[in-house]
Amino acid sequence: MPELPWPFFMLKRADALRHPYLSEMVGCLIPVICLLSSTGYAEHSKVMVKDALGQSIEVALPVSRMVVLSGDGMEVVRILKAHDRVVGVSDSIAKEAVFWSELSSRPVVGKWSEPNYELIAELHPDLVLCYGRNPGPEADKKFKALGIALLRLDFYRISTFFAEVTVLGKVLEREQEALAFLAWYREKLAYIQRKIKGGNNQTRVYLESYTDFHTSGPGSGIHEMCLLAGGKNIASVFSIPYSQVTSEWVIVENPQVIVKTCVSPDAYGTESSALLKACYESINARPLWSETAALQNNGVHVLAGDVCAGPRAIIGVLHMAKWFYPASMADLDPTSLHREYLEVFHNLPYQGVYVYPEEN
Amino acid sequence: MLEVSGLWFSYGKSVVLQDIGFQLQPGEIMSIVGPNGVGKTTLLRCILGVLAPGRGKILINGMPTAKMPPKQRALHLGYVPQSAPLRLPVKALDVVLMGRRPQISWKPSKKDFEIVDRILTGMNLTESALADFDRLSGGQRQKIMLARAFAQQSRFLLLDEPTSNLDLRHRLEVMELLSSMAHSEDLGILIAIHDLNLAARFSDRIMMLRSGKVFCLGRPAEVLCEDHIREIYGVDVAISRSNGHWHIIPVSAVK
Amino acid sequence: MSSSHASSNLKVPLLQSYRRSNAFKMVYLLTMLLCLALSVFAGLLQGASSTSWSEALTALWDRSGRAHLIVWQLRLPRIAMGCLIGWGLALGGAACQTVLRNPLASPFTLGVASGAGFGAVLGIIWGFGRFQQEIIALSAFLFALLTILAVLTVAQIKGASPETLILAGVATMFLFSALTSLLQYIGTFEEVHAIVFWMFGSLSKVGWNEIALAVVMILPASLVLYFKSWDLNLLIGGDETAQSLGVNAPGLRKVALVLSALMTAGAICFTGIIGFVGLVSPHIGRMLIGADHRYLIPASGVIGALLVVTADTLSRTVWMPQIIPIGIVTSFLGVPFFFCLLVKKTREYW
Repeated sequence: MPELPWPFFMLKRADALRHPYLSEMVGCLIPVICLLSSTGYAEHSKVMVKDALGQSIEVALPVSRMVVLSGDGMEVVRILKAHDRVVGVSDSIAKEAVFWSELSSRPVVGKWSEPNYELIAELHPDLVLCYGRNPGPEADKKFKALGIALLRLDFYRISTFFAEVTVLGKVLEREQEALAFLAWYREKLAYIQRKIKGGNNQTRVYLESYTDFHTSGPGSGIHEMCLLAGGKNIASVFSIPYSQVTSEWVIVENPQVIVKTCVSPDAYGTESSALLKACYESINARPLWSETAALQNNGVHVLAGDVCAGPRAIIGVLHMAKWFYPASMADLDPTSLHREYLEVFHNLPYQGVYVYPEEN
Repeated sequence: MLEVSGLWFSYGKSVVLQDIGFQLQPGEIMSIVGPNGVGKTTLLRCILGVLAPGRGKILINGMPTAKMPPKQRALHLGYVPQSAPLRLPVKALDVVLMGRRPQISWKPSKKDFEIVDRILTGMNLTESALADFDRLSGGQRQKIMLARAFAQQSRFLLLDEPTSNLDLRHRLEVMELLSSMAHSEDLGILIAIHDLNLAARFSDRIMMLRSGKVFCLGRPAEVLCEDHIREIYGVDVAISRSNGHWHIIPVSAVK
Repeated sequence: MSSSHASSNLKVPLLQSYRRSNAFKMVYLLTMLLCLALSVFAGLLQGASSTSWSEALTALWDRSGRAHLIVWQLRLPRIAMGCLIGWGLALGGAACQTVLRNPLASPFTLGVASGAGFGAVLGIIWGFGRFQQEIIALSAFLFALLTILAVLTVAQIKGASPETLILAGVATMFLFSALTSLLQYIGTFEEVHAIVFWMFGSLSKVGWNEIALAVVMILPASLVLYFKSWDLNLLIGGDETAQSLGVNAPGLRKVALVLSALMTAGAICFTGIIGFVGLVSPHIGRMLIGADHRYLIPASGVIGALLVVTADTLSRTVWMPQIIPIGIVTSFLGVPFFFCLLVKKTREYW
């Protein structure tokens, strides 16, 4: 007798057991079992997820080809070990050649805010990943016309980061990896919380953004990072995210730590700390700032922009926590945790310049 | 003496003035007459130095004006445009004082004020002196511009149609003033003018231009005859003289 | 002689009336200076620190104490630079309006601000290191002068008439605006951020070094312009009239434009674009004091300084602790005042 598939074998066995309706029952089970079996069948399923703007997006699974426009999104894609599915990238990703060396052969499809729809269409991706506000609403219509799903996720604000990583994990069917990464992330934040709990004095911090004499207030990502690191932003009373400030105000507020975010293109590929050093020296040279506690106690720190947004924002938070509470965080080594992040989640060795003055 | 010889001027390819030459003595009034577009204004501008002639010489007391810096030229040549500029938001007295500029180094001195005062008194303009220039009537404005030119105390005065925009009375006043100033201050005056009667009455010599060339030049009696006027203007006129006054009356246009 | 005796009697009332009307102008000028002094004072007494008014006052000469340092190192530079900038921009505007005979003319409409903006953007994108701020300022200054060079080159070929200069200036302005927009378009988020905020204008970054440089660029040019007051007066009457009185009109036009570009570039290269001051101060000056440049030039300068210093004080105090960029406040301040004067004026002043 030829080998039959096991449902039919079950049928034969049922016959042998001589139950009155057993054969009929097993017969009914066969199509049900086939339907429930998800392995080995190329069925397309769909998921509904919420994007950065709160819209409900339907994505057809599996997503085997994707175009990524946002640098932060690309980083999360690699954390979720789905970067081999990327068929096209934006110019800002291509510019960070060292950090994204394995994507160097991928075609560039335009700017992160102005993609070239034709180039993307030629690549027939299943999904395009971009920021919430850029490109604008016209992209929704264009991609819909092309039959490509558009997923908008920001990843640059910690408050929405967790939900967005989960969404991307679901869409790329990498939920395990997403959970693992978020667990690692949460653990680091929890460590900080533990160490500063019960402390009496919150460190007063002045956060300066990329532009001189402009502070990062509530509404900016850096402000969130500062809060997570346990610091008190002296600009927390402001109502706009990037306000100009006067020297006089900073001196009166007398911050204990000053954190300046500095533009450092492709910090991973940089060896020289000249840019960050220049920022550091310019702050130290400002007249009368030497009166502040920050300048008197070596409390001025420069942070590269790459560790202030996206998945690496946690690194920025760790550095900040160490600067704000050096005594409590004596055991904390942000550099080694940074190394861990790169090796475990990106399979890359640690390199690059991210802070000035550098830690020993 | 103002001497112009062999003056040629073209705007691009079109020749406007051809071989103009004449002499003007101080104390003499010479009128330039001719149809519209014959080049009267262009000639005045060339003499003034605003336009650079293609060929020819302009000499003042033997010195070529082309080599003179503007300030020096202003000491010799005064100019009154056809109409006062559109907007002059200053007082009438300021306008007259402007005429003293070639002589002023920084502040107007007492002497400058004396000169201005004398001129304004002589022209009966003292009441309007402190009024806004833009508020004056057309006739008064033209007289103030004239006062400015007199204040310049230059030896020669160039006037571009000083009477065209004025009423009957002001026309007469302006021409009489020019005549008396020419004789009392020994000014050489060159006037481009349309009104042949006024030109005949007040000029020592008249230059008639035709197609950019000097048609004839001489005393009014020699120059103003029916043939010449028909030739230049294409108009038949009737000329008569009584009491030393000229009456040139247009009769009909020549077909 | 009897006629001169008679005329000397008549001359007295005329000269006296003239002197009296000029004396009024002096009084207006001094009043404006007083207002400027008051606003400088008010600015010195305002600040984020809790220095009281009496403390700030004594701090001006009393060397001991923190208040002295705050007043001299932090507040005074802002105010001094504000005065300089207001003066320079206003004079630049006055010169442009007179020589181009156009009430809308100013170094900004001729493209100087666009050129400076482009230069600053280049400095922001490609400058780095310790001297980035100086590089930005230098680049802004050079490109501001470059725009005037472009305009003057056109003038050399086609003649320096007001129409030619204005058209060439507007074209240059659009060119550099487009170039700046292009750089913003291809720039990263951080660069765009920095560019936008430079364009708003800020007095926070200026120190005594920048003030010294600005003085070198603005004050000598102002003096040269002032000594040409009479010639500028004559220019109002038209080119021909001016030429007949000994003024080289096209030459004066070019000199005035270069001077105004120098003053404007010197003002905005350190602080970013502060608009409207150059356009409106000369008009206010004309409405209050008339078109005689011997009085108009200082009056415009004082009004410009007053506008900028008041705007700076307001920008620091109205929305504490945030600062409203000064380029925005000058327009908010200047426009209503200008409208008031426009509506209330009785005689034509332009």
